[in-house]
Amino acid sequence: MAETPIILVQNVSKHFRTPRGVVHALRNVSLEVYPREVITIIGPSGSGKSTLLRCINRLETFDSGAIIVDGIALDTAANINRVRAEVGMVFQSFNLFPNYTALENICLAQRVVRKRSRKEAIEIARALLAKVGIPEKADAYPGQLSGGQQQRVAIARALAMQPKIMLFDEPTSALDPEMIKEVLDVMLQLAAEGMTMLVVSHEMGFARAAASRAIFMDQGEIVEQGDPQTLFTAPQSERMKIFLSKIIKH
Amino acid sequence: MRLARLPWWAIIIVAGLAIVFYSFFTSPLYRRALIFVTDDPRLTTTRFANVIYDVRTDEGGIRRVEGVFVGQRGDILNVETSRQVTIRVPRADIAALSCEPPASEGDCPVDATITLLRAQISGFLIFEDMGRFRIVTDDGERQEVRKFDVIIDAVQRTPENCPPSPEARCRVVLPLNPEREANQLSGTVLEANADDFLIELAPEVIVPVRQSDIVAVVRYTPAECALNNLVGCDSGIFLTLFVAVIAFALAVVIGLVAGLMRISDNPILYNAATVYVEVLRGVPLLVTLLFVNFALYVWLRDEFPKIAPTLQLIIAALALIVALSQAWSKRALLKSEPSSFWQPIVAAAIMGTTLVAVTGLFAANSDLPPLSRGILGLAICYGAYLAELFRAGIQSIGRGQMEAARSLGMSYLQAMRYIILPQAFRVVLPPLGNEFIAMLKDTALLTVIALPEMTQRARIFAADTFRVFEPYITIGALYLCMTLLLSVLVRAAERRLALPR
Ligand SMILES: Nc1ncnc2c1ncn2[C@@H]1O[C@H](COP(=O)(O)OP(=O)(O)O)[C@@H](O)[C@H]1O
Ligand SMILES: [Mg+2]
Repeated sequence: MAETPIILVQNVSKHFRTPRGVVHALRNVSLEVYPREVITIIGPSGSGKSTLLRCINRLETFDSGAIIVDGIALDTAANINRVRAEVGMVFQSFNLFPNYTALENICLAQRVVRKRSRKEAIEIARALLAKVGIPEKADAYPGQLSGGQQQRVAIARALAMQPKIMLFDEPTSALDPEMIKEVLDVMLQLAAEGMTMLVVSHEMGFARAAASRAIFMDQGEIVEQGDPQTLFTAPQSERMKIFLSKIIKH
Repeated sequence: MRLARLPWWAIIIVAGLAIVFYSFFTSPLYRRALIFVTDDPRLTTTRFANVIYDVRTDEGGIRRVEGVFVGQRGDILNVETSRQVTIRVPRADIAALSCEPPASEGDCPVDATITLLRAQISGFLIFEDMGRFRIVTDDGERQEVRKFDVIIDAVQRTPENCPPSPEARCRVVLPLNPEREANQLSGTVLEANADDFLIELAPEVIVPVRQSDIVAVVRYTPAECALNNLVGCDSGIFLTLFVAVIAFALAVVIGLVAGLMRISDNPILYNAATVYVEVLRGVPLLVTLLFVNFALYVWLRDEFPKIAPTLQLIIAALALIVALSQAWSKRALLKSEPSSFWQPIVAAAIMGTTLVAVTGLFAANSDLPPLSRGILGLAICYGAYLAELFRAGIQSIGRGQMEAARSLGMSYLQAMRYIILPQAFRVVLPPLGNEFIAMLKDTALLTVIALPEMTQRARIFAADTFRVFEPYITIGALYLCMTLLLSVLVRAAERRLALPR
C-alpha cells in the first residue's frame, strides 16, 4: 500500500505508576495503519492492548514517542477533541448512557459536538439503528436492552459522529454466546464498507473473515504481525505458540 | 397474627399527632403555644405595613406621615397614625373619677371624657418576675402590671401564697399605689355598664394621603404577620422554613463546588477542598455556629474590611498570572484556533473581576445581621456534608461513562453537564432530601444565637408561662409533620426518577 498511514504510532512507551510499583504497559510500540485496513489485536490479558487503543484517542497519555491520527498530532487539548471526533470507540462494557434512550444516546454527541440540528441528528440516529438491526428499540433505555443490543447501540452511537477510524476494545467478551454473532455481523458489514478498524478481539472467525492483518501483543510489545491465517496457523514466536495453545486448549 | 403485621409504627405516630392537633382546638394553652411558635398568622388583617411618607402639603411645604398603611381606595392611601387602645375597668376597682361634661356622682355617660384613679386590679396570676405581674383579668384580657405601681405588701393571693399558674389556679388582687401616675387613666367612655366602663384611651387616627403628593417613601416594612400578609411573618415556623431553604440552597452551591474540587486532579483545588470538608465535618455543628456567630462575625466586621484591598490585589494579580501563562502556553493557537486561545484568558479575566467585586462588596457589607450569620453558619457546615455527598455521587458513576463521552469528542465540562451530573443527581437526590430534612431539624440549634425561630419561640413561651410540656410538644409535632411530609416527597421523587429497566 502506497498510501499515507491514517494512524501512525511511533516508538510509544507508557508506564502506569501504581501503589504497587510501576507497570510498563507499552514498550516502544510502533504501528502504521492504512485507510480501510481492518486489524485485529490479540494477546494475553494485561499485554497492553487496551492501553494502545486508549492512547490512540488519548483516553490515556503516553510517556514518549508520537501518535499521529489523520495527520493530526496528539498534543493540545483542541487537537485531542478533534481527533476524538474522528475516532469512534466501542468498549467492552458498552458504556451506554443509562439516563438516555437508545435514540438519545446516538443523538447527544451529534448535537453537542457536531452541532447538528435536532431533526438531522434524529434522522441519522434512526438510520443507524436500522443499520445495526434494532430500529424498534429507539425509545428503549439501555437497562431495557440485552447486551448484544446495547453493544449495537454503542456502535451506532460511535458511527453517528461519522468517524474515519473505529476502535473496538473486546466488543464481544462481555456478551452471552448467542449475542456475539449479532454484534460481529454489524462489524463485518462495517469492514465490508471500508471502515478503518482496530479490533481487540479473540474471535478467530471474525479475524479470518474480515481482518487484513493480525497483531500479537505480549508484555507491552508487538511480538508478531501478519496475515491472520498464517499468524494463527503457523506462528513464528514461542510466546505466540504458548498463547495459542492456551486459548485453543479449553 | 394479622394484627402483628399492621404498620403499627405509622398508626402510633399518626395517632400521637392527631392527639396534639386535637389539643390545638380544645386546649387554650396548646392553642396559645401553637400561635406563639408559628408567629400568629391570624385569619385576616387590615394592617399591612409600617410606613413613613414625606407628603407635600397644600401650602407647598412637606410633612412627615408615620404610621401603619391600612389600605388604599383609589388614589388615597390610608395611614393609621395612632392606634385605638381600649381598656375595660370594673367599677369596683375605681377609687375616684371625674367626668367631662360633669355627670351624676360616680358615673359618666357614653362619649364623655373620663378621668379616673384605679385602686386595684384583680384576676388570675399567670406569670411573675422581678419587675412585673402578668395577669388575666376576669374578662379574659392579659395585662402586665409593673410591681413599681403596686403596693406590694398588700397583694392578696388565693390560695394563700400561691405561685403564678397559667392554668388560672392563683387568684390575686393587686392594690395600686394612688401616687403613681400610671394608675390614673383618662379617655372617652365607649360603654358604661352596670359593673364596668369600657374606655378608649387614645382615639384612632387615620390620615388620608394622596398618592401623587408623596414626595418620598422613607420606610415601608411589612407589619403584622397574617395569612393575607405573609411577608410580615418573620419569626417562628416561617423563619425556620426560610432559614432552612436559603441555607440549603447556599449549601448546595458550596457543596457542588467543593465536591468537584475534591475529585479534581489539580492538587491545590483538591487539598483546599479536603481541608474544608474534613475540618467542618469533624467539628460539631453547634461549635461552628457559635464560632461563625460570635468569632468570625466580629473578625469579618472589624478586620476583613482592612485586609480586603490587599486581598483584591492578590486575586487580581493571580488572575493576571493565570491569563498570561495561558496565553503563553497557547500562543501557537492564536492563528489557527483563536477561540481556543481566547477562551481561557477571557475565563480568567471574568473570574478575577467577579472575585474582586465580590470581595469588595463583602467588605462593604461585612456587618452581618444575626439572620445572615445563622444562615452562613448552617450553609458552610452543610456545604461540607454535601460536598462528600456530591463527590460520592459523581464517583459512583463509572469511569466508563466519562470515557465514552470523551471518546465521542465531548469536553470535560460537556461530559459533566450532559452525562455525569444528571446521573449523579439521580443517585444523590434521596440522600440530598435527607440532608434537607436534617438541616430543617438543625435550624433548632440557631436558638443559641437567639434567632426567633420555632425552637427559640417555644423556649420564650416556656420561660414566660412556666409551662414546658405544651410548647415543646407543639414544636415537636410541627417538626415531625414537616419532616414526615418531606420524606414522603423525597420517596415519591425517587420513584419517579428511577430509570426503566
Ligand atoms: N489505569 C491503570 N492504572 C494502573 N495500571 C493499569 C491501568 N490500566 C492498565 N494498567 C496496567 O497496564 C497493563 C496493560 O493493561 P491493558 O492495556 O488493559 O491490557 P489488556 O487490555 O491487554 O488486557 C496491565 O498490567 C494493567 O494492569
Ligand atoms: Mg483490555
